[in-house]
Amino acid sequence: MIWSYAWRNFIRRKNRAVLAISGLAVSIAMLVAIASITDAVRSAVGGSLSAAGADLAIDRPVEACPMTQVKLGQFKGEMDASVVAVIDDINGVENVTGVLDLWVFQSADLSGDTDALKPAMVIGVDPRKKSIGPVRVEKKSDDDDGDCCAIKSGRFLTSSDDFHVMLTEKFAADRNLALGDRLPLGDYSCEVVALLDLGDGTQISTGEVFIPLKTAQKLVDRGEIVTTIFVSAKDRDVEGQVIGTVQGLVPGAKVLSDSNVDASTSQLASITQSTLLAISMIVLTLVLILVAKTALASVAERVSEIGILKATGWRDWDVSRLLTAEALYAGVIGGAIGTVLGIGLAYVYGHVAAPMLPDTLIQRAPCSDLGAAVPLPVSVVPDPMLVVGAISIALVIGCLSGFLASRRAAKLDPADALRQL
Amino acid sequence: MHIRTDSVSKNYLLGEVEVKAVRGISIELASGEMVAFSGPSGAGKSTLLSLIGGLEAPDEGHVYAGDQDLAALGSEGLAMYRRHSVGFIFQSFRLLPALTAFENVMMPLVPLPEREAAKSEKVVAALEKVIIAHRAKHLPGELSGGEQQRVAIARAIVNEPGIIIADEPTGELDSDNGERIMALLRDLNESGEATVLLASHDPEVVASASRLIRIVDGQIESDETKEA
Repeated sequence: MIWSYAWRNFIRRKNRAVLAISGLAVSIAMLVAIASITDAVRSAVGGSLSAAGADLAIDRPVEACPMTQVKLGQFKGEMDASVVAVIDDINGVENVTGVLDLWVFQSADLSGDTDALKPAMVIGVDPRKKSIGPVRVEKKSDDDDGDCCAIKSGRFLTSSDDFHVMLTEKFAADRNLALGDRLPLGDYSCEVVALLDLGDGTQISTGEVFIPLKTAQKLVDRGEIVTTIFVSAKDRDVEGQVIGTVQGLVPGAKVLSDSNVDASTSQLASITQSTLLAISMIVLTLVLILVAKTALASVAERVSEIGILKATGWRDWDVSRLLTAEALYAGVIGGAIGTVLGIGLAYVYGHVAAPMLPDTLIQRAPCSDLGAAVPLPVSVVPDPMLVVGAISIALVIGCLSGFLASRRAAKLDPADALRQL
Repeated sequence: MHIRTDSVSKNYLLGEVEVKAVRGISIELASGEMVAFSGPSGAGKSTLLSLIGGLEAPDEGHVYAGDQDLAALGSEGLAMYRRHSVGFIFQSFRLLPALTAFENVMMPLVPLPEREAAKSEKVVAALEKVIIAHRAKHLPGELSGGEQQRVAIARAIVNEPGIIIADEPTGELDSDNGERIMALLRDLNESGEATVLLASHDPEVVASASRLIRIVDGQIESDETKEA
């Protein structure tokens, strides 16, 4: 009964209701938009690890080496391939693979009519590892949400392959290559066995040409080396052990994990993280003040009504329930509107702002035709926990407002209230 | 309900001036009496009724309702006393404008832990008793002054209180409506359902009571009981 009476009171005071609801809605919308955008960006950037089916990616940054026809990828230092086996032996490591990032400069015109050289980003991959690495054809588990179906046509490399390559569709189109054609790489000629679509998202060890690891090692002729190691761990506790082992074996090794990605995300979404958060906190503070003042003003306006309620036997507790119920209505409605508005704003941001991948996560050759700027596919998906959290915040503000109003109302002496009429 | 005040006093501030509204009044009001308090404005009539109705506590002295010393009740106890034992009727009706007549009468019942149907039955009975049930769905603004005061009386009696306190109940009504309201209050009193205490300047209103207490400057100047 108090709830229905509270509802009638709430909608009767249209101006106050609109003020309270819109204030709450704006602040909640800001918070939801920021949280949604941050989450979407983090998810998009963090996709580089999940796309590789890995929890950790290890490499050893070095200065760029002098120009040669075949060289390690820019800033990629070599690591002995035996490190992969050492990591594999660590208890709790689920899967591990090493890849070799190479740049192979070759004539842009495969017919040899011009002398212009273009880099091909060549990755040597272990054909036995189908569920981890830059090209995956198997999911590592049923709940693996990474993209594992990169092969558009052809087949994955096999252990018996030597001079066989998988090409991205874009690279194949640029070089006018099809399945069965041959691609010259250094001193070798390799048969195209697959065309790949690796998507637009961020990738670690991004390549255009994928060859067996052993062939890549022959191509660069520096022994059994790798430049990036992907590790999938059964739980987070293993990560520290892996990092410790790697850093002991490979001085200067850099480990990319979710926490590193988060740091990159922060850099990318600095506007989100700082400016918008600051604005939303200011708005939230203002709304708290607004709601508090509205609650107190509401009691001041309703001295007569509260006096009559008390005269007819309403206890302070009953009046308090009434005022709190009214404030909660504002909280629920403002929170719901704000949440929808916030998700909408985040959705618009994802489509209009067209964020780009941060440089730290781009490993393509600056001189590559593919360019350095990679669009970041930000996909805003409403998070149920965020929705619950946002409405909870609105309800807390509503409760606070109701509490303040109740305290003020409880202090009202019914005789004084009636005397003021 | 039997009421007794024992040397009760009440002061309040009017701006910065302290007003001695009630000065040591001691009276006994028998159960079922209809008592009129008269006197000039500011004499202390309304304040005395507020003390008896448990709207405020005296600065000195005691008010007893039955055997209960109201001074011993806290805020919650006084609220329960008002809820179960007192019905107030005000000069300007004091109906809530956004609520219908039915909802206004329902007001004292809202916090009660009773079934909605039982509450509704009580409201309908109260509205029928004051002959305003046909206007139950109307807002106060759609009712005449007399009709509004009937609704206010229905609200005062819906909890079947032992005391009805009416402060200038006809103050904003024309003489015809005033007379009808007083007839209604007399009926309620004569049917033995409540002690009726009313404050008024109006000699005709005062004349309808069985006992007249005149208050001047916060003190009882005269106390007369009509012969039957």
